[in-house]
Amino acid sequence: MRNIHQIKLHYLVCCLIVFQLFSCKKDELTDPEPLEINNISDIEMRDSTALSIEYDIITASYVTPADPSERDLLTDAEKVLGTPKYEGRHVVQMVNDNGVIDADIEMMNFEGMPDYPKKALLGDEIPSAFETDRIEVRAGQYQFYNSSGDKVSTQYQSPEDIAFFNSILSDFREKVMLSNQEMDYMITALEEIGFEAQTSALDSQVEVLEYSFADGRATKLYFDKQLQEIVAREQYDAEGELRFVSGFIHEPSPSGEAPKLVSHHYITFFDSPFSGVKMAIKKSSSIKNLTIQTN
Amino acid sequence: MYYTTKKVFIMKKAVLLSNLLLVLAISLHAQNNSPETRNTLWLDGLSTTSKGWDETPRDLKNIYNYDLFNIISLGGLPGSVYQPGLGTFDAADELASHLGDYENVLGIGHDFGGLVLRGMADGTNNLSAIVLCGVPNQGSKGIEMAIQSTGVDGKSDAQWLIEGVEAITDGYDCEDGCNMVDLFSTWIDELEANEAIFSEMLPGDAPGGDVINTLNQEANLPQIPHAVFWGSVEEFSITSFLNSIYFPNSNVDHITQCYVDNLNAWKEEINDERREERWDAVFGLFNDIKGGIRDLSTEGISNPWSAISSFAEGTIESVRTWLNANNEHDAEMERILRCEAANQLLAINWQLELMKAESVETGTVQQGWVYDNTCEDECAETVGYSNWIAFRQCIVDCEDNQEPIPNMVTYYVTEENDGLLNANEQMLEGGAFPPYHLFNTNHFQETSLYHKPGEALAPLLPQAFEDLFDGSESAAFCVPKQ
Repeated sequence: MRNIHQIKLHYLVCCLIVFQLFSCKKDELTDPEPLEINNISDIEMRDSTALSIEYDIITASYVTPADPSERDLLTDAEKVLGTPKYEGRHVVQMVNDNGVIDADIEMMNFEGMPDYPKKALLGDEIPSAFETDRIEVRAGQYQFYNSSGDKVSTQYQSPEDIAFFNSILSDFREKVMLSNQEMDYMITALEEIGFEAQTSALDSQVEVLEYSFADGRATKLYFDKQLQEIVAREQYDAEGELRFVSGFIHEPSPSGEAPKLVSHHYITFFDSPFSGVKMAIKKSSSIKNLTIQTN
Repeated sequence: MYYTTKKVFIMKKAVLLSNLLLVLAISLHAQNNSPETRNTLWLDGLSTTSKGWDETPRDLKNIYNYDLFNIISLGGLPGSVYQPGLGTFDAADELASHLGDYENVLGIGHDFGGLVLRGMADGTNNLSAIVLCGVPNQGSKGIEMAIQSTGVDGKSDAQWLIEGVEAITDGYDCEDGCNMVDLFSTWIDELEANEAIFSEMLPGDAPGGDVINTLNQEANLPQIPHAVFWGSVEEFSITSFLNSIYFPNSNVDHITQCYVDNLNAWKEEINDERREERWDAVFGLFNDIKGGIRDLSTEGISNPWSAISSFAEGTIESVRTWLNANNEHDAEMERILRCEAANQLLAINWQLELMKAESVETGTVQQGWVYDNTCEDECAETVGYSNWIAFRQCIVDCEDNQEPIPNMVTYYVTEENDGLLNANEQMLEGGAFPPYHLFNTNHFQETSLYHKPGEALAPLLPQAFEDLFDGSESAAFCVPKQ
């Protein structure tokens, strides 16, 4: 029976695997400078805090033609959607042992983010009085504040999110790493379950697992045999059209080190009724400067 | 000492005469310096595009102490003398025929009301000066988009826009109680239902833009002094614009609040989903499957292959449940992303339409390489999205080969507008003084004495009227204080 300290140590290791630090690929370039944080978080680790996480996250949202060569076919409004919109956040989050979170989230402009003027048409215009400058989460209640410190919105941590944290805190899990032989067993088992398995022609370390539903839909999973985890998922409709992509990108690390998580991407599609062009809606995020503490 | 009766009589007469002279002098002085009540004529815009002047003339009189008389009011002319439904020129003629009893009338018009004033401003009646507030002096591209039929099916560009947005969100419940698209659609339908009158606000270069064309002919420009008040919003938001239409007397922006609540909920939902997905990728079902395989291989089974079938059979339901759950999660993410894009397209299209009279201007801003999206675009073009490994490899290769030079991002620049009329559409040359800018004021707020733009400490319109009524710019607009 593992003791609580071993469990927490393993949990810390697992979290480091899950949210790995981002580092620059080129020697001559470095991560964005540390941020000037306007509001110091006043939440602290308490006895009831199981996990403390601090990180920066930058999300870019934009819509472009699925085939960029069709850009000239777009209407002016669709071209505007292609202007990337960025949101940067500095997050300090405490997960309590009941799964409920406290957090301070500050909206940040990071080094390198474009500084659009006020007159820029981006399509996400909200009066500044309603723009979120800071989010305070206390016992699962989200309070959104504008730059004047006025409350503009209230949300609540969803029961699913509380259950998620409850699960990861109370249900100890360790990442299983299989041998090559065991990996072959697993691929066979997945084929028995109903997946079609094929090694990727572009990367022999990746097994592409496709599951077809009775109604014609299909899910394609990309299983990285080196990381031994799913790195991407694609959903296809009954007509075989790609509908949705969710994927993580890792970058190779110096020999001996595990590949590092770089970014996450959501991509979905719609056929524009205005230009007739198939459009890709993209939301890409990268997490940086991550620190984790357990209690 | 005594006075004879005669002398007393003469003295009394002299005192009386001097008192009379004194009273006369005072009276004359008062007459020479007493302000004359200014007759004013306040003309509302059409109800779908104007809140109307409402209590503005009353409050200017009773609160701001201007000595003005609203000639369409109790004690003056009945409201029926102003009939916008007659059209600009007929309504102008009708009103002008009733001005005979009132001298030196200052007309103040909003929206369509200003066009009617322009129809009266030929110098042949008692209208002596006009104030044009948020008036489509050059027509309105927004109105054109709303009502002008394009194509054989008779739908306007705005109706096509709404249909397109609804097509994107068809089958994806996007409204979440805010009904932004529905509200916009209802407003467009109201404009379209009154096409005959709103067509008088079409730009001069549009088919049917006869009224504006006629008004702007040299001979028909105002023959009396005119002043322009024009509005613009620094941060146009279609939700705030709709709120002004549907909640005209509220200080609370209900529609924007609802929209922001939804947006915030969507963002947090995306964050939650991403976090759970990451966890699941590492420790979820497939980790359990690996654990099961590990257990099989460590049990010392001589032929694990045969055990795999049993293992697989026992795992099928879990896998199907997991796959279906992921389908649901992905469908929810798809819904959120589509709804967001559709709402943005509605707002962008409306803004671009207001700018159509001018060329669409673009600018560029520097973007650091670490947040460069060009690799995504390049890889979308070269390898597409339907093979994640190819896409991923392309991204990594592209970023490895990128020069560390910040690239430029192109953005579109909005023209100043009040949500319905752009700045140029509100202008009319030859004004008695430079146009007065009602900053951070949308079209429906231009008639309110209580609208405070942005961080302003005081409402803007009272100040505008004060500057106008003190007569320092032009005596034609003088309205005395009580």
